[in-house]
Amino acid sequence: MKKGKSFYAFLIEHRELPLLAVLALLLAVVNVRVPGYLANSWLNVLKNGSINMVMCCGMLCVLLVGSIDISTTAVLAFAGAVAGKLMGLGVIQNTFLMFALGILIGAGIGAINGVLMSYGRVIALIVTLGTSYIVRALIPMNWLLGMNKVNPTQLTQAFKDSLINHELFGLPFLVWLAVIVVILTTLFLNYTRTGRNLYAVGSNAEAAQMRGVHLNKIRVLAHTICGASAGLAGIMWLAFYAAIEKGSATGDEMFTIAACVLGGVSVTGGYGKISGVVIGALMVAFIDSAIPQMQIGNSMITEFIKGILLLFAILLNVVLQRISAKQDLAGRNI
Amino acid sequence: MKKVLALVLVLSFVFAGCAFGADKPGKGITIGVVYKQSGNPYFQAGVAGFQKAADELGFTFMHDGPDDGSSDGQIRIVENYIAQGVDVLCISANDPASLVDVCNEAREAGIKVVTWDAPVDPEGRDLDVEPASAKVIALTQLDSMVKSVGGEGQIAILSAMATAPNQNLWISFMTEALKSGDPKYAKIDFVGVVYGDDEYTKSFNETQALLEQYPNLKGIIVPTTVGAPAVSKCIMDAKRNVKVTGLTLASDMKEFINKGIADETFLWNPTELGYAASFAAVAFVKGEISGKDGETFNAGELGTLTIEKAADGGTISFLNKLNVFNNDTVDAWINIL
Amino acid sequence: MKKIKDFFTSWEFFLIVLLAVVCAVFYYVDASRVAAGLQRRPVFYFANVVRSMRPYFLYSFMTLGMMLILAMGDIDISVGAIGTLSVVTLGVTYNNLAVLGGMNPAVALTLSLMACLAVGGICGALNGFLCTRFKELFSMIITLATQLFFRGFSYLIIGGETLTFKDPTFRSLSALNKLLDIGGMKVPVSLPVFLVFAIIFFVWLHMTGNGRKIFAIGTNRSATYYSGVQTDKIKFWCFVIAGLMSAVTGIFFVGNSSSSVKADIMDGYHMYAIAAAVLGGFSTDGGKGSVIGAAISLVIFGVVKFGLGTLFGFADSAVNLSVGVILILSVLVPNMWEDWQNARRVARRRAETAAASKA
Repeated sequence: MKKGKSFYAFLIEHRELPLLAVLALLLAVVNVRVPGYLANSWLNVLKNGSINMVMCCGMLCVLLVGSIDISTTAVLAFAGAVAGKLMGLGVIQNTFLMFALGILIGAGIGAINGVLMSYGRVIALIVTLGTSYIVRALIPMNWLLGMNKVNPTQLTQAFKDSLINHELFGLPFLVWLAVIVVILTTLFLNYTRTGRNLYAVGSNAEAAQMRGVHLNKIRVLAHTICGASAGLAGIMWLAFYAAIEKGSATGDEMFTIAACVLGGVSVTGGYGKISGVVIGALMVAFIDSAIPQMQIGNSMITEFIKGILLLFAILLNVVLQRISAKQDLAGRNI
Repeated sequence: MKKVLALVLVLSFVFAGCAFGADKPGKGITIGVVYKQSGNPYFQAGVAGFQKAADELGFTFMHDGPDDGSSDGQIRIVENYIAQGVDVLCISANDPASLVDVCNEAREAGIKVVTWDAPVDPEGRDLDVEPASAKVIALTQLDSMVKSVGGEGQIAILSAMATAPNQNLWISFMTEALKSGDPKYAKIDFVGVVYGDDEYTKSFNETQALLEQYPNLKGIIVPTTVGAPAVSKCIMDAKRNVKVTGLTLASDMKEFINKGIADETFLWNPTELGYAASFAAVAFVKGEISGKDGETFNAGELGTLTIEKAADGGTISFLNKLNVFNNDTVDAWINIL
Repeated sequence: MKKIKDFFTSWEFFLIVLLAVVCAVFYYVDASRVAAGLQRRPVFYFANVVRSMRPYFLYSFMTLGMMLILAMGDIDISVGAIGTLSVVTLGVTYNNLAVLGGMNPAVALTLSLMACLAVGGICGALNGFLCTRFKELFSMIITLATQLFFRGFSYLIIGGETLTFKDPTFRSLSALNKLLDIGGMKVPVSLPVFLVFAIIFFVWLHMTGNGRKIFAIGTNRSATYYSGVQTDKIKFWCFVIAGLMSAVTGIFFVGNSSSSVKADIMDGYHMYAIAAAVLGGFSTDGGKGSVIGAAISLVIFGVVKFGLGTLFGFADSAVNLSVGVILILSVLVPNMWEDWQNARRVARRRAETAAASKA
């Protein structure tokens, strides 16, 4: 009995463990169906998943304070389009400047979202829905891309090589960049006062306010971080795919949110761990890469299977958490 | 006397000028141009053709395409053009069936419907203007691919949306040819069609899956301008020896053609397509043609075009020009397409 | 007197004023463009606007369903996908029964329409079931997953095909897109149908106990539950109704797109429905909003999109920009107004207290 209690207590502490089990199960199934899948594709999963991973880190911060941001992919496309246009015009040639510019643009839009959401008291879903409409509509304006897109010839070779053709310990810089962002987010959320305040605001805003936390400032900060991560993701996108256009990544913000929820982040705020988010993001990237290779019917039913798997994983996660919570209560003899 | 002569000369020039200005055949005509999706460079080139023709003929035109590339978005735009009372609609349809009703409403209001690049079903249009017959377009790509892979090996197709009518027609011609038992296709192993939905990432991911699934894949045919750069970039990153061909813009593919990932790609000139469509539109308003089989109209620089019977039962007019982009020609096209 | 004052400070009144202002501006621009010779004839007149608003009015039925969900403090982003699946069901059922099976076309069409509505209801029921059984999950997440599922299922059924029916029975659905002649005025069929639905929803939501319970759930779910309301049951049925309304939208969509059926339609329609409902006074926080407001905001969106497209020559994408701006302002402005009112009230009280203490 005692042993059981500690096991379930452990499960409660680590809500992402059931998800890890689901991920392992899926991997096993796919590996049986497509022999050698893991050996062939692990690098592609990491590469394709890293842009989403970066956005997930920002989304985690926003979800933690009980807010949401569905303008991330619009910001991604906008930041990429502006930076790509400037590089095409020859204004910026330096790779680092590109990344700095992307982060700045993203942070700016994120901050606007945050201010409207906190000081303007407009619901986050509405604000970010509005900004995503606006920001995406700016891209085909004549002063930006017009009807053109950014294509490889407009980018410098150094920039195009920066993330894909440089490797460290066998992994391209693209993946390392995501790793760095994850580490920074972990440090920020777990070891700084401001980071802990994000959790405090999300789980109990009034209590946090009593303790002297400036609610609105924290909310604006969370949105700014989310915007910045989306801006960074835009430049990563530009460097990885060497192209960006008005419609880039449309609708993908939902997969960012899905990855966070899969990872056990609460959409009402206050709970969520970076480790869970990393697993969630990997899972989404894995589903994306595995389904076309499974050769189930034609490639058009990817969405169908993606939906079922997402639903299955999310619900299983909930059920497992419920069981562990019940066991926890039983263990306490209440 | 000299002065008088000079004066007469000058005056005659002035009159000729006035007369010429007034006689621009398209003066007072308004054309509403509808294309598949905004933000697509292919259609910018198409609109440039309308602009060129407008400068020559003197008509005015408006152009727009839906944000999301949907046919109900196109219906909205057509409704707006009907409300504004244009004389001709030049439509590149996302789907041949959906726009029939709204086009017929336009025709009831006295508006002529000329389709270019992608047709509306024959009962909803007056004339279709196309670059070349679907069979020629399909087989050009297939033969180029066969040449690139040296006549044998596995090849695949990456298409746009699964519902895209043009692409589906071309693919059916390609698969027909492959099954026909023609000896030049005998050693070609066709592994299947995947759909990139005209989205960069989806095309990229589908290509990754193809490359992993078929380690011996030799070539991918990409009959869509959005998919081609994504496929090529994916192959370049994977450092695989897979050849690409298809319908592409020169500016998108320059890098990949120079690096040998694609030997040659094709596209008609959408500018010429728009140019021809606007001449047909003006001829319709002037009553010079009525869209019947066997009629001809003057298409400016492109000479005289003939209206033929189309495979779908309507009438069609072909430009019959396909441009080839390879290492030698791509630089000349890069600023045009 | 109080009632009159309430009316003039209500959100619906503001929307009416907004609509009037927008119309006035467009009318002026139209007239001056004609005077300047930029247009051959006026564009912005009643019949023309009403006619061209047909495509914008497609998602009005979806908006009615979305209202219910928003009033409960939930959100449903799968409504567009439900519409797609219903439309595909409609087409495929008819194809199998009448075209391939040789059934009497009229009977087949009736059966297909019923199947279409049933699928809408079933999809809504699935959403409702999941949202009431898994309360830990935000309805947005659940409907995100079911949206992918519904959309994928449509592809599974019909693939990349476009079903086009040339027979007069199925083509009669196009009549849903025709203009009715009511007393010399041309009115699209969808308008009176929408009005009937809107009146039913209005009576139900604002005048019956069951309707008020929906708002109560949005305001405070636990309190409503403990006061004896079966919140889960109501929530479930609201999702079912939202699904049905999506199916109705789907039927009109088929009418609008020349009776053709394919699987890649109605993408992003949930956003239009949410935008219209929010401008109408509904909030994703739940508990407020009115049917009249939503109906007026549908008209506003239609007029704005029509006017910007035809008179100002805005491209389709730029029209979306205006939707974004309207969306944010429609919530921001009343909030600021409220803040200002509160500040004024506090200042007045302070002044009163100060005066009293002085005395």
